[in-house]
Amino acid sequence: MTIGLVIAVALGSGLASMLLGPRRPRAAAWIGLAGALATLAITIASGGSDALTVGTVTLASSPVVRLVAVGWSASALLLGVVGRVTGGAATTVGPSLVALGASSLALASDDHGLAFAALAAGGVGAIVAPTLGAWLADREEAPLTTVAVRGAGAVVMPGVAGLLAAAWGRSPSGPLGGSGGVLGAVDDPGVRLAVGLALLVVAAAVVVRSGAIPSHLWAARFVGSVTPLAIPASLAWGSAAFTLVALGWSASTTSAAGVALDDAGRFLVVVVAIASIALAGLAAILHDDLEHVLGYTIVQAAGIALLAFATLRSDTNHAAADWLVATAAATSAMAAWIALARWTFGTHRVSELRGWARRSPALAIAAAAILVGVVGVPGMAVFDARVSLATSALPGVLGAGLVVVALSPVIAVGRILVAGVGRAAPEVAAAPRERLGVLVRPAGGWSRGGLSRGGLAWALRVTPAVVRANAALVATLAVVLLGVVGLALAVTGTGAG
Amino acid sequence: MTAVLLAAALVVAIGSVAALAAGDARLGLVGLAAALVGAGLVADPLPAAAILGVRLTAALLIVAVLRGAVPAVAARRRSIEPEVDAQPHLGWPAEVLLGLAGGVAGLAVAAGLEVLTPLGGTGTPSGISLGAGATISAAAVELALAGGLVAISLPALVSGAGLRRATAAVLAVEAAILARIGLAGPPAALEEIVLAVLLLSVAAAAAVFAAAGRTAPEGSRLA
Repeated sequence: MTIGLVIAVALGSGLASMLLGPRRPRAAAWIGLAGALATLAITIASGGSDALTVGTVTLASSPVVRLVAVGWSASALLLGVVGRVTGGAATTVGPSLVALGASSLALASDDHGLAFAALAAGGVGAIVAPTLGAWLADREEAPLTTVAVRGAGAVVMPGVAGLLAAAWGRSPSGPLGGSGGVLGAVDDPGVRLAVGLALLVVAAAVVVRSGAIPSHLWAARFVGSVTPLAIPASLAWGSAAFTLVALGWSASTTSAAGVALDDAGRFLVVVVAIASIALAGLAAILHDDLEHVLGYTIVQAAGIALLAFATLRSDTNHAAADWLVATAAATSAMAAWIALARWTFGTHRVSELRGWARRSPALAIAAAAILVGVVGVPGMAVFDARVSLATSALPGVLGAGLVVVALSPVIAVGRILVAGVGRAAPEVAAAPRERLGVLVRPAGGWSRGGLSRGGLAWALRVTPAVVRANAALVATLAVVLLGVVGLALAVTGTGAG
Repeated sequence: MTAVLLAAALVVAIGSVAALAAGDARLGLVGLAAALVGAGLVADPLPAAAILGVRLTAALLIVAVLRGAVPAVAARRRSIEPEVDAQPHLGWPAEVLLGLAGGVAGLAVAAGLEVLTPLGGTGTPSGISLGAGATISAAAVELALAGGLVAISLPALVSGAGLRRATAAVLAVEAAILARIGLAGPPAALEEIVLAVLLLSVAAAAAVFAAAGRTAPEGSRLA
C-alpha cells in the first residue's frame, strides 16, 4: 500500500507542479517541494516490504525501490531548495517527481514491459521541461529544440525497445514461452541467437538511455543547455532506474532460457563499457566547464554499470544496484554544488574558480563529501561495487587496470577542490558576501520577549525575512546535506550485496 | 467480430496515411484521430469496456493536445514558409506504398514467429478467413499494422518538422504498442494505462516542440 502512496504522491504533485510551471513558477516550485517532502516522509516512514496488487500486476516494494525513492526524493527536495535560491526550481522539481513516480512504479512492478513503458512515459518531462525553461529564459539560444528532441528520443526509444524485448520474451516464441515457463528448446541455435540478440538490444537501450559512449552526444548537449539542477532526474536517477529494470529483465530472461550472452556479445558490451569509462573519464578531466565535468562523470558511471550486462550474475547485479544508487545520489549533490557555485561566483569554469574554497568554506565541505561519495574508499559500497563490476567483467590484471582508470573522478573532481585553495580569481574575489553561504542577517532579538508575550508572532513575522536574507546560507546547507546523503548511500549501498 | 478487426485495421491504415499526407493540418488531425481510435479496436476479441475507454480517451486527448499547437503552427507556416502546408512530406501515393511495404514486413515477422499463425496455416480460432483455408490472426494484423505505421512515420520523424513530425512521433509509438500487443497479447489494465500515458506524453512533448518552433527567432534552428 505504501508503494502505491509513494507513486501517487510523486506523480500527483509532480504533474501539478509541471502544469503550473509555465504560468505560476513560484506556486509550481512550492508544490514540487511539498510533494518531494511528502514523498520522502512516506518512504522513510514505510517499513520493510509491502505489496499492492492492481489487476494482474503486483507492485512490490524492496530495499532497492525504497532506497531509490529515498535518495531521489531527497535529491528533488534539496535541489529544489537550491533552485528556489539560484533559479530553476519551477522547471526541475515537478518533472523530477513525475520521473520518480514512474520509476518507482517501474522498479516495483513484476511486469517488465510495463516497467519499460513507465520509464519512457515518466522520463520525457524531465528532458523537455528544463530545456523549454532554458529556452524561454534566453530565446537567443537556437539549438534547444534539437537538444530536446534528441533527449526525448533518448528516453522514449530505449523504453520502446525494452517494451518490445519484454513482449517478445513473453510471446509464444520467446524464452518465457507466454506463460512464464521455461522454453523447452534452449538448445536450438536459433533460440539462443534470438535471446542473445534481445539481451544486446536491451544493453544497447541502456547505452542510449544513459548517454554512454558512443551515444553520449545527446547527454553532452543536454548538460550544456539546461540548469545543472535538471541533470540528476534526467541522467543520473533516470538512467539508474532504467539500468536496474533492464538488468532485472536480462537476469530473468537468461535464467528462464538458460542462455547467457556469448563471447562476442560479452566482448561488445565490455568494449562499449571500457570506452565510456576511459573516454568519459578523460573528458571529465579535460573539460573546463563544471556542467560537462558532471555530465561525463555520470556517463562514466553508466559505463561501469554496463559491465554488469557482461556477466549477469546475481552478485554483479547487486553490485550494479549499489553502484547506481550511490553514484546517482553523489552526482545529485555535485549538480547542486555546481548550480550554487555558478550562482555565487558568476562563473562555471574551473579555471575561473580559483580560491572558491577559501571564500566559501561551507561549499568546500560539501565538495569534499561529494569527492568521497563519487570515488569512495575501500570498504565503502561504492568502491567495492566498482571493483566487483570491473573484475567480474575483466579478470586479472586487466580488471585491476580498469579499476584504476575508473578512479579518474579523483582527478576530475579533485582538481576543482585543489583550485579552491589557490589565490582567489577575479570572479571569485568579486563575489558578493550575501552569496557566500555565511550568516548575513542573524535572527537577533529573541530575548526581547518570551513566547507568551507575542514572541511567537514576532518569530513568524521575522523568520521569512531572515531566511530570505540568508538564502545563500540555506542553499549551502542544502548542498552540504545532499553531499551527506550521497556519502551515506555511497557507504551503505542498497544493502542487498 | 473479425469484420470489426478488419474494418478497424483499414481505418488505421487510411487514417495514418491521411494524418501524414494531408496538406491541411486539420485534416491530418482527423486522420490521426481515426487511426488512433481504430488502433484501439484492433483486437480480437474486443477488450473490456473500461480498457476501450482508456484507449479511446487517450486517442482523443492526444488529438486535442496536438490541435492546441495547430493554429500557431499554421500561422507561422503561412508567414515564413507559405508553401509548406500545401506540400505533404512525401505525397499520399508514396505514403501508401511505404505503408504497404511495412505491412508486408510486419506480416513476414509474424510468419517468422510461427506460433502467431499469420497466413496460410490452419489459423487460430479467431483468425480471419481469406479463402481457400488461408487465415490471418489478430496478432498478425497488429504486427502488419505496426510495420506499416513505422514505415510511414519514420521519414517524417527524421526529416519532418512541426505538426507532421509530432504526428509521426505519435504514430511510431502507436506502432510499438500494436507490436507489443501482437507479440504478447492484451496488456493488463495497469499496463494499458501506462501505454496510454506514454502515447500522451510523447504527443505533449511533440506539441511543445511544434509550438516552440512558432515563436523561435527567425533563422534559428527552432524554426
